[in-house]
Amino acid sequence: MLKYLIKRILIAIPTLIGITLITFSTMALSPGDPAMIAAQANGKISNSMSRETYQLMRKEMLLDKPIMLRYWYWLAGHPATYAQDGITELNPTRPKGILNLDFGISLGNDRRPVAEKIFGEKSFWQSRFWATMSLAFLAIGSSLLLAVPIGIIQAVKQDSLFDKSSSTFFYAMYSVPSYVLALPLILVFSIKLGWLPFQGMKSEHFAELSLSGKALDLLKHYILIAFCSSYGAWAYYSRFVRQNMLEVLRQDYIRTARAKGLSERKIIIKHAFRNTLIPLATLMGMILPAIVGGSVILETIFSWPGMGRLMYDSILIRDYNTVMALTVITAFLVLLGTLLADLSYSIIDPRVKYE
Amino acid sequence: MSDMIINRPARSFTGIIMQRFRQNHRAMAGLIFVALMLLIMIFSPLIANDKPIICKYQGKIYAPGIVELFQSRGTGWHFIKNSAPFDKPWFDTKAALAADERSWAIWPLIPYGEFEIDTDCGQWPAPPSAKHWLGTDNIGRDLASRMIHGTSVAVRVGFISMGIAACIGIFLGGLAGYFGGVVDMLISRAIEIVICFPLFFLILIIMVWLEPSINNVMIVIGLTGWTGIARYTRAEFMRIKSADYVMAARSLGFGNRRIMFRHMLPNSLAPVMVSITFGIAGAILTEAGLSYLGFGVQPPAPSWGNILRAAFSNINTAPHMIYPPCVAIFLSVFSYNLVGDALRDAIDPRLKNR
Repeated sequence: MLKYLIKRILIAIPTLIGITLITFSTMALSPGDPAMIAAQANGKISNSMSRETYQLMRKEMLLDKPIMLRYWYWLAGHPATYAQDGITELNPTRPKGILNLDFGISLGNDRRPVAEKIFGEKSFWQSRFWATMSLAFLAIGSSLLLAVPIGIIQAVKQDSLFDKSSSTFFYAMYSVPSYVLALPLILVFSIKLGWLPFQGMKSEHFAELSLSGKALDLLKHYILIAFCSSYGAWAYYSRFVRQNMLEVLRQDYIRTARAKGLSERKIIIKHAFRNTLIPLATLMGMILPAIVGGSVILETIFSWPGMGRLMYDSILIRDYNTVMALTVITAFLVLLGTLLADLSYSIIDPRVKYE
Repeated sequence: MSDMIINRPARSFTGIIMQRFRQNHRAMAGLIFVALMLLIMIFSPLIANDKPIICKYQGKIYAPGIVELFQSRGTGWHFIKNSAPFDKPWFDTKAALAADERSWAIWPLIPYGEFEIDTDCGQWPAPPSAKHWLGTDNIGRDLASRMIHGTSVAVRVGFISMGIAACIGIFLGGLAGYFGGVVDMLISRAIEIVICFPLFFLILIIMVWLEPSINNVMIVIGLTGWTGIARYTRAEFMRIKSADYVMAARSLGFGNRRIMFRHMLPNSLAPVMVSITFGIAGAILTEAGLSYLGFGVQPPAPSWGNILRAAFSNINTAPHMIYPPCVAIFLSVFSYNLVGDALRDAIDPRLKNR
């Protein structure tokens, strides 16, 4: 088991290096650089920009170095300290490198540390990371609570009216991309009926609200986006559980259980459902990247302060450090998800042993 | 008894799959919708156009609509040029025909071009009416016409991007499955890297690099969407590598290339087709998403994604703009999913005797 774990982690290292290397070189090779964009946005440099200031900014952002060297700095840190470079005006911080768990400084206008930008300045609960992850957790949780029972009932009552109508419905839902459904929902619930807000995570007067008012406000903001990011998973899960249950229900040991006179309820919950858990665990690992990757459009629509929108904004201003940090975090989550799924096999299914 | 068995006509694997596929009515409906999209793409100049199909103008008969069938829309590159004066972009066909008393014209179903701004329908965006069936967009262009001409983007993105992905996926997956060993390990690692990528992030990053256009969208989706196909091909090649006919081909001294592409590939295509079909649905979604974010097809060229974008930025004034692109995207994705599912069921050996 431990050996397997170590092997998996060792395999993950080249994967992570590959991912970061591809992202870094693609970003670095694409036209436009953060110094130019930041400088123009700052108003420090107009059209008649001083070449010197621009060069200084480039130097400060380490953009004057070759790409592979820059990747190395990002990975392992920059050897020189700030004073040695002789720059006094601009931000003094040099990257300590991802290996020292330092994501560096955002190259955007605010120049905040990237970690602070993603994981929150004051509290984790207000961070971009949590804004996206809470949606992912809601999607996974709601699928387990809602879609799994539906899938089981569908399988048990195969070809009943409930089975046919709900599986067709879920199947159609699965073909509706979240951002396509989001717009009609916003139109109906936010604009026509005015029930639910669709901009951001909190109202403007959030701070003045009472505790229950705050909770209600958050809930109202969450409903639409959480539904949009979850229903795809519901459709997928229920279909999946249904198919697996149908297969399991045909197995011999179910017939044995029936023959020995167990109640139908016990057969389904104790004997059948447990055996569909294994493929379900794999899905858990797969759903996380789908939600985080798909979050870009949904978060842009809902002005949601999450990682997807941060990614989009950072790509536009060529904020290499933030983009890299977000890529690493998502890739890490994906690898972690698949690893946890694999490990949970051995807990769920005693037949599975890793060596 | 043995006579009967011998006399039964032999059915190929493909034949069996086709037969089972045809029995699935939902899938046939999906296939019909896909065919409909293809027809709409090909005949779009005859369905929605600001030029008539056939007309008589100043004593001569012209067929500007039919000529446009052979032109590539939205580009300057034309296989056949329309005869003067219909080849001039600034030529106002409707006003000219109205001015000429002895002219007649057969108009398309929707007599508005996708770029044509209707100046006399009052306020923009105009809600649906008898004149504009789906209304107009925020700058007065007929929405139905833009939807029709946006179809070609969805069709082309689906087929071309998955064509690219299939070439890469089948090649790499085939190599990995056929040779195994070090080659397999390297390619499998590469597949794993691409799978662990948050793909939409990667596509966005590349789209910033390339300038946004439909061709680049297709290339990027193709370059990033091959992993599923590669995995299927790899698994299939591994499975049939030791089949008798492959052994036979090898013992006849055929080269690796011939064995791989002439003997193994046709027999492993069925599961790969499933992956490609789902990939097309995914590609349509990705294109619409990219166009929605402004990285895809650039306005004024119509695509379902950028109609959606225009609809969302005018959501308070033009609610009628939301539904057509949503429905179109849903129906096309749904059809491809239906086809893919039916294909998967058809090749599933466990369902053989049903």
